[in-house]
Amino acid sequence: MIEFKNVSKIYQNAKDDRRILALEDISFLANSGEIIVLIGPSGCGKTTILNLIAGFIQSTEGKVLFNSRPITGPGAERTMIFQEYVLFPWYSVRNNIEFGLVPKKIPRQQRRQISSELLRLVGLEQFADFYPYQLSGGMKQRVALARALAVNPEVLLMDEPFGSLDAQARGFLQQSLLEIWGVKKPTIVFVTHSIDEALILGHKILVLSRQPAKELDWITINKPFPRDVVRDSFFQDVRVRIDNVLKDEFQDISNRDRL
Amino acid sequence: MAKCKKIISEIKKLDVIVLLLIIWEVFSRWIYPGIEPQAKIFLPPPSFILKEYWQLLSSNILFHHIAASFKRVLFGFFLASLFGVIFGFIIGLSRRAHEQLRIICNIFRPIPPIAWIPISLLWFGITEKQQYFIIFIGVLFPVLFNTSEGVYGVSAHYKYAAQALGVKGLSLVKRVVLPAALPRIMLGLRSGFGYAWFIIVAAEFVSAPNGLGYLILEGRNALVTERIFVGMITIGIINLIFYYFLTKLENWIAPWKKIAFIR
Amino acid sequence: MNYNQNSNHNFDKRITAEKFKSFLLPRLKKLSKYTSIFIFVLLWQIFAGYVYPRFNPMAGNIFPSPIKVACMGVDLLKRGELLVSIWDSVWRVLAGFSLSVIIGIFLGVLMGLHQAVRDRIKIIIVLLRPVPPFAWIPLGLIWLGIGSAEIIMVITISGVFPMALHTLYGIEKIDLKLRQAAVSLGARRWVLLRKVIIPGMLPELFSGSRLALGFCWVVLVGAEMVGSVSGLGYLILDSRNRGLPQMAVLGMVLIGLAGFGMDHILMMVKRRLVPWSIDSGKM
Repeated sequence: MIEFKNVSKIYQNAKDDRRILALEDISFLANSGEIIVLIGPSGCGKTTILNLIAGFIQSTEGKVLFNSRPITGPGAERTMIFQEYVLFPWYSVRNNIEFGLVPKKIPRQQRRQISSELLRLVGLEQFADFYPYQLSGGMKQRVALARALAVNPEVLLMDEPFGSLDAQARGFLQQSLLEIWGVKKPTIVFVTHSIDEALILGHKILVLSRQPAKELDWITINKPFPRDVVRDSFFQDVRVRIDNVLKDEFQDISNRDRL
Repeated sequence: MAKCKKIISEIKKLDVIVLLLIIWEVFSRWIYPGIEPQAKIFLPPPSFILKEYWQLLSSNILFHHIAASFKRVLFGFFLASLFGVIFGFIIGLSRRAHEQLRIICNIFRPIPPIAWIPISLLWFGITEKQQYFIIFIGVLFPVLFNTSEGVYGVSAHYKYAAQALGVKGLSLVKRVVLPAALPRIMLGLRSGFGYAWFIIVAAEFVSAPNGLGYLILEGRNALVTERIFVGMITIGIINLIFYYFLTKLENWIAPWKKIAFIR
Repeated sequence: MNYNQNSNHNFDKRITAEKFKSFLLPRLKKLSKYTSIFIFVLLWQIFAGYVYPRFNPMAGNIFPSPIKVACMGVDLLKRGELLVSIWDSVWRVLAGFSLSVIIGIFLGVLMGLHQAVRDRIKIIIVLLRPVPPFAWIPLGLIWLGIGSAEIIMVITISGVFPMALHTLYGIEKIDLKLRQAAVSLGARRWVLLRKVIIPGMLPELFSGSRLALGFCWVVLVGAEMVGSVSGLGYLILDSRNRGLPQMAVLGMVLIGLAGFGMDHILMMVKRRLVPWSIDSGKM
């Protein structure tokens, strides 16, 4: 369970005295097993929210709680998947997946079993001994997913993970994610630009304004998976709702530039 | 069949060189001596150079000099690399330390190792130690700096990803920082080694009883220009071989960052 | 009356404190970047001036202290020797460097024009480059004798290869797409050359020239030590004959400063002409 209570974040540049207010008074609650989608204009602070949950940074004001306890640092229970994959190029696919298992002191045999199972799950059994530089974007993201699942996280943080993929790979991975989620039901916090993606994946959608990010809308979707976001009229309404709110954000940006 | 074609096209590229060599031979052997009585000192023909090469090679003198230079380079390089990699690594882990190191390197870097020769002679006299010292100074800074830069510059993303998978502390350094920095460390080592061969010649000019640099200088003092060429060619070949093998080694260690041979 | 005086006094104190913070502190912060240099010189002075002489009474002759070096510098300056030496070294480097840049760019452009030419010249470079520039010195001595000519020759050789190769990379690097984009916008040949190709080449040209300058300096020192009777390299060598190690150290410091200075100037020019490129800090 993840809780944000009136969280604000100010970044201070070390070299000059510039201060950037990234988040302003953000509050929300994500129950265990839910998929929360963060959506908003570029650079607004979605990644900051993820980084706060991950424990890479601390909030300037307010509290960030995980299972009712404040988050003090990173850990495998709140693992992250990046848009740039960040696979370790010096490890093979299998070794990448087993990476988080080593500090848990899991013996070799068992590690191999787990990684083999995960390779099967993401459909990459034949590539176990390949190296990241030999894989395509979609494959790399699948390895990243397997690597994250290996440590059995309670929370999966995903920062526009399918952003650099083509439409087909994207659709395939979205479905795979839902299938995988169906098994252990981790809490997922997912950042995206795409309203469609938010509708396909999210139980709750947090719509954020441009910087400094404020909460614009909090939408709950109680539809089961898999969803038909194209034909079901419910989704059309939600789409319009989100679009209305975000349109003003983009309008403001372009007006500002003109001035 | 395709391989044959490739080899032939490679050989075709040598046509200009062969032509130049022929012109050189003809000119220096038959035309130049007519103009200048000291011709063979100014520009010995390639055939004379080959003769001298054969002489020095078969009498083992050449090996003697190669071995002497080699020993100095290896010794100095090994010491400097050990020191440079270990300290560079430790320094690279701390931002403050790395920035201070950068400034110190900026002080010492513009001072060529050659400039250290006279003062090193004062400290060590005309000994092997003095030669090792010059090589040491020359190799230390590239290795130290590149190692520290490599460690310091490990992308924060890798560190974040590792921490979000439960890996931190010493394990993080061993499994993430070290491999990530390795290509840059190898670059430093490769630069350092190349530099060592660069410097050894001058170091031997001033104060060595043997070695390839000495051989070249001896050629000049004795006015046997062929010997100069022998020394130059030998060092060139050694450098070429090492560069080729070091690049191969680097590609084997870190195949995800292929380096082209000629760069 | 007293009242007024006291409050004025306190007011003045506060102004000075404020002034200190706003004026001095940021400047001190800037200086603190160079702490290691200060500490270095300080440690050097302590070691050379006080610690070492305890172990070895002859320390003064072996390990000069920074103060001694500075005094030597002033002394030579007064006698005029210092400026002459510096000038001799600097003009040689400038001459050799300029020549190597011109020849290097010429060769690089030649290579960039035609594949066949490129292959042949490249092989020659590949074969000649591994020969260390110092190795050319005795040959240069035979051809041109002791003096500036031979030194400039060797310096030029050392700088030509990196310059030529980097020019070639600069040409090859110019993105095909950039050229296509320019053409599709209606640019004709000369304009293409001026506005796309040359600016595209500049970053590589500068990194090549920076490398070349580095080589030029290193080679200058060695060349002056072996085959010259003037210049900073010779100054260092001569210190042995005169038994003045502080002169050697002075020479080293000056060479370091001059080399650093020239590099800095080159970088400033680069930033002016090529503001869109990133400086890499490689050695």
